Amino acid sequence: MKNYLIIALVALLSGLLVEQTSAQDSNIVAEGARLWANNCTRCHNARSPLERNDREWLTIMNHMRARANLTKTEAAAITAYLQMVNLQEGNNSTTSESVPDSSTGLKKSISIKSDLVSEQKLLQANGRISVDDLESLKRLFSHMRTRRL
Amino acid sequence: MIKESNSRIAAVFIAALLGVPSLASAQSLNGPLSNVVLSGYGSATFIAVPDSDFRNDFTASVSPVILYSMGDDLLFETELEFGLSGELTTTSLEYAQIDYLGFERLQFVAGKFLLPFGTFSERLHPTWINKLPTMPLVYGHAHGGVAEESLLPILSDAGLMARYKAPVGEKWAVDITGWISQGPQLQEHDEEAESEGDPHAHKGGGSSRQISASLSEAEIEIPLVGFGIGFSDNNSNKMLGARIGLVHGPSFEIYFSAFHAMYDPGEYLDLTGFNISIDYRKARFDVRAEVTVLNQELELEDGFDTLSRTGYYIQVARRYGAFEPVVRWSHLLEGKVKGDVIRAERQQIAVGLNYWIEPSVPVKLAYQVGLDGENLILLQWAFGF
Repeated sequence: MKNYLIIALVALLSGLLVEQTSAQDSNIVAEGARLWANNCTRCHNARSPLERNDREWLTIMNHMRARANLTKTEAAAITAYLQMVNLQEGNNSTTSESVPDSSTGLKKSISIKSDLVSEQKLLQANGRISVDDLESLKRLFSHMRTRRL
Repeated sequence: MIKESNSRIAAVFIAALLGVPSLASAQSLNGPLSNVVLSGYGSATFIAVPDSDFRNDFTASVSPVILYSMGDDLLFETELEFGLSGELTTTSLEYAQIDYLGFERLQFVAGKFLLPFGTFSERLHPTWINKLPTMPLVYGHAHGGVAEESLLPILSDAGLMARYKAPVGEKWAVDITGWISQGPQLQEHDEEAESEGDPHAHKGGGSSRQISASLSEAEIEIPLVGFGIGFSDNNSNKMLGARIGLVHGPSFEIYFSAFHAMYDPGEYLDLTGFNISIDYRKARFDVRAEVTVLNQELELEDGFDTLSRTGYYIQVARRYGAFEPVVRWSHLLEGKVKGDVIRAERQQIAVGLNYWIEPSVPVKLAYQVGLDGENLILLQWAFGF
């Protein structure tokens, strides 16, 4: 009986931890979208996230971090947002590669097969953002693209 | 001997600075994180003088930027510039720097970098960002538009730089940058090159845009001063500079910048610069303004004096969909030495209309009125890639 209680408690805590991590990641991406809009336009029009793939955005964000004097956390959040948009739009040329997870600084192996895997499965595989957040960011990006910001 | 000693100390310091992050990032140096990105910008410009002959020219420029990321914390970045100036194709190394980004709020930069003196020179001069085909009178640049006789070039120099950002409350941040670099150098006219048609030629290397002063209006000859001309300093003195700014999200930024250096081999002639830069953006309005003061100490036959000159510009733009009208007023106040006007006052108003094909591809049509000189019609197609 005692063992069952321990297992149940561990499962409950694990579930809460996963939920919390997912919510934190979601917040990071949302914060990244805000920082992207706020900081890029300090000097120039915001470039489309689809112009570059995930790896290129990592390098370019380092460049922009130095130029705009962004903190490491700010740069990581913007990169997470750019990578999320790319992921949602299937804008990574390679089909299977190690993509750095900018929100944690760790590498995650993500199998990207955008033509075969549905958007929802991709999101679940990453566990980085909710569908609601994705939709709101998608609308934001679509709006900015239409308005040529 | 002193110069050699300083060079050794600088070399050891740079090696230490670069060595520490290299060890920290060694794991990712050869891993899948390594990456090279080609970026940059360029332009094609048509310039016409609406006088009786309607003189006109086409010019073009391209500035490739190469980024090499070594793990999360190290970045090498460089920008080359290729442009047309008179009968020549000009090339220059705008920056070649290594950035260490391992700290949360602190950054270190080593190499040749754009000096954070004001904001236009460091961040706003690329042709796809600059909202007009020409530079404000304060700045001169031979590429990507029209070279103007100006107060300062786009400043880049070799040395070390540290940057720090401190959030103040939820919406404000303090942006602090300090640097030490080779500093400006005294230049000499290259009469032979000038006679061959290059009006910007000067001994000691460097491109035309790096010369901050040229012909004098009075008989006193003002020494030419170049920035980032070469990697061998003409004296052991180094330029010290700093910029402190207050940033409020995307809407407001104000920066105070200053530098000091000795520019002659004997190290007794000062060059100091001060700048206030303000950027304001709201409701699709974009307002930018800068004031720059440059004090250049001179050695005259009967002693020393200082040529002090002030320049400023204000620029307002407003987006209407893909269209963006722009107006800019630039003003260089006259410079005096011993009561004589050495540099004449200059004013310029530029009015333009931009059409943004893409967020990084504007077509810019502008009419520039020189209140003391010729007017220009400019059409520029710029692109960032």
